[in-house]
Amino acid sequence: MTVPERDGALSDAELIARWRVGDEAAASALVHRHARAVARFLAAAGAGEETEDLVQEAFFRAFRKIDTFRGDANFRAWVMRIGSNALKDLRRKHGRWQVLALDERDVPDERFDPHGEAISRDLEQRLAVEIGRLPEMQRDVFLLRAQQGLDYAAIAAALDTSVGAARVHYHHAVKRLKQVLE
Amino acid sequence: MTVRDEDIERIAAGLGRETAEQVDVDRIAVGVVERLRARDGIERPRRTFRWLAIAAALALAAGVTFMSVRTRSVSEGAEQIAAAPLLDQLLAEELAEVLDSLSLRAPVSEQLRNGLDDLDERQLEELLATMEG
Repeated sequence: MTVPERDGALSDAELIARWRVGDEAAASALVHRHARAVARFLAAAGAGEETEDLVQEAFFRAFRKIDTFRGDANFRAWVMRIGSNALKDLRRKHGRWQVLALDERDVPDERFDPHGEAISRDLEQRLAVEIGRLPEMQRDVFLLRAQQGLDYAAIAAALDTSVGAARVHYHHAVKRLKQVLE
Repeated sequence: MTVRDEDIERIAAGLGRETAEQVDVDRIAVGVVERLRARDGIERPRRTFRWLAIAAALALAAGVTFMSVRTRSVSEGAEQIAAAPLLDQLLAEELAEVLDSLSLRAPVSEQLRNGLDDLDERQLEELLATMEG
């Protein structure tokens, strides 16, 4: 899950410990390590052109309240959850409850189809929009599992819910997406 | 049209790739750090208050010393009551500076973690005795 980038072999926990005592380089290293994954998550959640600003906001909020981070949780998923809340705040602030459609370029093309099956561009576009319309918890659970590849235990820890609830949210999300796409 | 679970999951796995490649990670990192510094700036007045508390504690120590020389009739417990609350408000490192300035015999400042509570009875007695002259 964690990919060292620029910062050698230091783990997330070590970098977090350094940031707790004010090491700005450690904070920067954590941003470099996780920013693109957080950006993918937020873009898929419907952040659109606000994605970069929201990534910055998510990390800023995370570092401000780092004392509330549980050491056994997944830092990246925790930041994603904070980003999800920031996205909600942004929509509320601007009164924009409509879903921000993903840019066309963000919809994967057929090269990502492992079965060689041609899924229509229309289906992909609609899926991208419908994910953004899911209830927040369903959307976050769905993306953390389907896009980020986290297991239910990590998802539950990041979203402060139970493993069972996370499974239910995922099931409902997939069911709902299938219904609107069929 | 039948949509399978794996179709949905496969497409979802690829969403957001292009946007993620486009974001400027260096710019995000710099922005985060600058905002965190700015937040520290907002909190600085509180630190200034603490330094004023240090100055007040030192002034109090000097004043108490002066008064104890001049007026032996003052009860010994009164200075402790006045000084202890001020000292108790200082952070550990701030208290350490006060202690260093008093040139105590017992080395205490490097042992401080949480403030006055880290001092043993002997160290606390010496501190108060020094402040009282």
